[in-house]
Amino acid sequence: MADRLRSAPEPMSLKGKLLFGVMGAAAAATSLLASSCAARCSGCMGCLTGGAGIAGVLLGAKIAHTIRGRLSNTQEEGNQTRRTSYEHDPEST
Amino acid sequence: MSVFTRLRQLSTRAKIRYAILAAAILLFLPPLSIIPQFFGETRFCGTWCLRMFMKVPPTPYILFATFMGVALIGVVLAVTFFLGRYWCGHVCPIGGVSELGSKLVPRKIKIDYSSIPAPAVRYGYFLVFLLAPVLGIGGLCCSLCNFAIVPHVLAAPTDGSCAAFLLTTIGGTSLALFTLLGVWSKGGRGYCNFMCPVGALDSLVNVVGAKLGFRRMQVEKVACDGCGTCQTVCPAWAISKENNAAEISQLSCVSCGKCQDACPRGAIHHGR
Repeated sequence: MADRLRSAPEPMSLKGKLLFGVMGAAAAATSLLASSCAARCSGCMGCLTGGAGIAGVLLGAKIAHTIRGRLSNTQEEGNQTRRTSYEHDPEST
Repeated sequence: MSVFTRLRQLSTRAKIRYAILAAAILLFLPPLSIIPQFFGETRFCGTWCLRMFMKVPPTPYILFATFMGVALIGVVLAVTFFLGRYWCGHVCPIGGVSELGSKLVPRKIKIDYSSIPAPAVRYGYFLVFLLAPVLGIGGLCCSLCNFAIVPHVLAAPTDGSCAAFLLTTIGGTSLALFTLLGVWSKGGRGYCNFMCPVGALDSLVNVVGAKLGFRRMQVEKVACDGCGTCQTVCPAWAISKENNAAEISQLSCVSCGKCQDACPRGAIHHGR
């Protein structure tokens, strides 16, 4: 059941975690565009850019992660199919 | 299935948790704002602000204005250290609105962010949150703050200024972000998991407490058969599977106990 629920490969490497950490930092950097707007608006639309940036970073990360998971699942299935066909094909030996 | 049938099916622990969350919402948030009203306020933006103490340097105004916020953070972190993240899972009214609100969104259209490693994103965000004021490039305290937007939403029907705030660009953006990451996310804790600085601080204290042997949510590896039921119900996406057994990440767990109720083998408990 859990295998079906989690499409992404686990556990994640340190490099992967660092990459997502950088994404979080990027989200915070876009959030900086929105800072202090609540107190005084100058009509710069920084808040909109900041919000869109955060949503973009997170949704982008999710899409990238899902695609990566699906690709790795497809690759695994492909390997299994090849192995099975090799094992059951008498001519292949 | 009707709401009442679903409520009846809940465990006593879950009923108590939802009752505490509902009480915290009534006590801290508009339209009643019972506790803030003792201090002449109606929202979290002032004496009760839990975020502003992170602003550097702390001017006398900030220290004075955030006295209750600082005291509350102290209590929250102390409870977390000894018992686990009970503030986030059982009391936080903002997280409560988000989690309870997410139950109104149909499951089919919810966004499942659980594939993203939330702690990595959270601490990347938190690092900039802490460093930005020190480097003099601005503060993120009030930027798209969940403690600001939720009270505005709840007060909007009775307070014209709050309704007007939601129609501004910053109000609309904050609302959209809170909806997308909070109410609309699987479990309703997306905003807490990715962007809440209080949650980030609380998680660190939670890990330190766990390392020192205080009680936390634990999985009995021998009893767990890795069915993944706990993973589906966890609102904080704290459970993963390692070596065919569930593993709870103390960096994300909010001690809500949902996994404990859901586990068909009774393999999860709150202990050492």
